[in-house]
Amino acid sequence: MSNSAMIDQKGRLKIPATLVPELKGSGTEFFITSEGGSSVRI
Amino acid sequence: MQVWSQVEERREHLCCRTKYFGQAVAMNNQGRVLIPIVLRSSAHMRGGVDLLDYLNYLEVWNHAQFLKNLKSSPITAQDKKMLSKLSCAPRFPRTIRRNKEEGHVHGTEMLRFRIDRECIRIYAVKRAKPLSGHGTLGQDKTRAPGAENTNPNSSTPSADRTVSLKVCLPR
Repeated sequence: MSNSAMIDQKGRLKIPATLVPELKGSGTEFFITSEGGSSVRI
Repeated sequence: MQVWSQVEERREHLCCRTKYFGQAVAMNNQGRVLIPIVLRSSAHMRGGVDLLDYLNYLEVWNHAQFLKNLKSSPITAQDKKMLSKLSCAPRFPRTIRRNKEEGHVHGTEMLRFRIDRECIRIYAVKRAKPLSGHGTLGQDKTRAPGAENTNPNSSTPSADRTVSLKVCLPR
C-alpha cells in the first residue's frame, strides 16, 4: 500500500499512524538503508 | 533489526552499498524516524514523500523521483505475462489446500432428493465434472428404489455419494 508522509526540517520521517502499531510490533529500533541511493528502506 | 539481520545473511553481495547507507535508528514516541544525512541528500528526502509498505520493510521515495522511476521502467511483456499468471493463481491458498485435503471441490455438489414409499432420502452428490445437462437425474429415475450403488470408486456420477440422510415419514 502507498502512503504519503512528511519529512520535517530536522530530517525526521513522520510515519503514518496506521503503520505505527504494525512497526512497533517488531520493536522500535530499525535499520535504515538503501540499495541504490535513490530510495530509503526501513 | 531482527528482520535486517536475516536479509543481511541472504544478500551478502549487497552489503557494501547497504552498509554505506545503512544506520540503526530508533523510532520516537510520536512515530518519527530520523533519516541519516547521507540518505537524505542522495534520495532527495525533503517535504512530502511516498511511503510504500512491503511485507517486512518500508520504502520511502521522493515523489518526483518515484514518478520518474515509474516512467523510466515501463511494464514489459514479461511483466504482463507474470501479472496475468498471478491473477489466475488461486487467491486463497490455505482454503484451497484445506478443500483438497477434505476432498471438497467447490461448486460440484448438489443435493438430490428421492421420495420412497416410507421415507425421504437426501443425498449430497459430488461430481468429478460439472453437469452438462440433466441426464444423470434421468438415470437416477430409472433405478429401482433402494438399489443404491455404494461403491465410492464407481465412475457414474450418481455413485459418488458422500452423505446420505434418511428422514422417515410418519405413518
